[in-house]
Amino acid sequence: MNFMNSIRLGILLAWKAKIWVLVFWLVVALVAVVFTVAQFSGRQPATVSLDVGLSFIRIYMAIVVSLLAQELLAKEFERRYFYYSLSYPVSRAVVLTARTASIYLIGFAVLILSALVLYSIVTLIGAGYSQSRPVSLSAPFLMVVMFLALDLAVITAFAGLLSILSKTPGFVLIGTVGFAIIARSYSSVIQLLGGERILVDNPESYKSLLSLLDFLLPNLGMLDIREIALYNDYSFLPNHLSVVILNPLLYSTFLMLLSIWMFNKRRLG
Amino acid sequence: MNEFRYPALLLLVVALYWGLVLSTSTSKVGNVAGPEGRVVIAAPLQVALAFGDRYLAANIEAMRLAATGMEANPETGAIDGNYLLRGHLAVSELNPCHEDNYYLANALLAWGGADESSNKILDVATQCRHWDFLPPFLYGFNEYFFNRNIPEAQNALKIAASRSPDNSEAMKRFSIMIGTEEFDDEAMALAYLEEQKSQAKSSTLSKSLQDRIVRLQGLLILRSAQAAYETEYDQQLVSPEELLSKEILNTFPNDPLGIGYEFVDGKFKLRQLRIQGVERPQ
Repeated sequence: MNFMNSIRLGILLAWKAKIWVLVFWLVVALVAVVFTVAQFSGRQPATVSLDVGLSFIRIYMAIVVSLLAQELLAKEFERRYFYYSLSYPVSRAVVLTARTASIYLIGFAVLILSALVLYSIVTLIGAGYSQSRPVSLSAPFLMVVMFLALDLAVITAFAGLLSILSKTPGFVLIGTVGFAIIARSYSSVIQLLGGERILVDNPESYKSLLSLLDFLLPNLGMLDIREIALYNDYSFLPNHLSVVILNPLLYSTFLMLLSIWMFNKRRLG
Repeated sequence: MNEFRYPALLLLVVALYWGLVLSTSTSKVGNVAGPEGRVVIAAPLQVALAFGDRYLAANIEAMRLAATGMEANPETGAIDGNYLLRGHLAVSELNPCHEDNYYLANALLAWGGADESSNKILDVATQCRHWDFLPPFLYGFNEYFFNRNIPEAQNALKIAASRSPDNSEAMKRFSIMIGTEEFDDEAMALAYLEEQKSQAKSSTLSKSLQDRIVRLQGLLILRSAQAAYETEYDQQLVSPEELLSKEILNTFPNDPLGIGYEFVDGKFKLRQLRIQGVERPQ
């Protein structure tokens, strides 16, 4: 079973698990949410709808990827399918990598589909009320989506790791979602705590403690560069763009290697 | 009938439960306003609650304010300004570039007595939205109108003028005119205007400043005519028509802006445009 066939198998497994039903309803919800939210803004409906649309996509992509990992990896242990998958003359590493790659490919496809739907709705809304500063749905929007794909890579790798480590499939969803929330929020929280005199007594020491998280968790908040599309302005791009792109890739590689190592050691029984 | 035993029992219990609920429910308490007003969650916590997304947190909070901000507190009957203040400040922390936040905050807070907080939000918006002329313009206006801080206002208006080519003439003119208002002596104001006109690079600005110079010169003509009447006839001027009938003036000076002059309490003044609700606090 070579690599490409493994990937095909992964995709077929997801299809069998009726992932398209979930994706359909999520996209329907996206359309409903975005249109509703545009009503709340007086002067910038397109900006607010793009903003909330992107937020909604980020939230449900994390959930979709964890559900996929649950289905394609964690449940395989329950169903004992791995006895079959591992009976071929390929290493466990290849099997796991191929399966995780198929999860990511499906996730990436869902992301692109959602981005296209969002593009259409925001264009429609933007045609209704002409803002003084229109959103940019061309190259900046594409960049935002690509950075979101990077975010998704880290979450996929983490979901894969949890599938290998956990005894129950249900834990993959909770653990991955929790990881996503913390990894995406800690940089903003640290920054906001700096100005907050009410919540904590000594914000500075709190800040220095929380900065240790920079070494442990990936800074997924840095990957949210949506302001370049919302306000059509490249000055909102982070500095050291190469570092910003490399960090999640390195972290995903780390998680993937960890998963392979754990998978090699795991007993299937 | 045995098969209906459990469903019947369940129905009975449900009916009892609803009966209890109905009997103890009082009149609607309504919103969650306490003595300190509605809850606004601190910004860092809102980020965590919004799935780690500060933009989502800002949008949700902004929408919540738009939907609930204008409700009157049932206990006091007034709009809860403190809640609006805390809410708008929270959104400003979460996403300083948020557009709806700054102009709603300005409309509700600045004219509701909390102009300092409104200015804080506008200041942050000016820095974040570096293409937008409206935050610095509103900031400058607030500084002029509420704080009478003319230099600060003029600085802000300069920033606003640089960001909006279409409106820059009007804003430069506004900036110059609020400078003249602070002169007690009309002659000094006139000198200031003429100096500004000589420095004006654009012809439209020059022309509109010239109109104002002519308006001010008209006022000075009227005042000197009044002084001449009072020294010659040794009595207070009662009505401006005396100046015409005594032939001190041939005609009243014409105001190029069309607003005109008025004679109030024995003095000539520039007639002001009065807009309902926009009275400068004394």
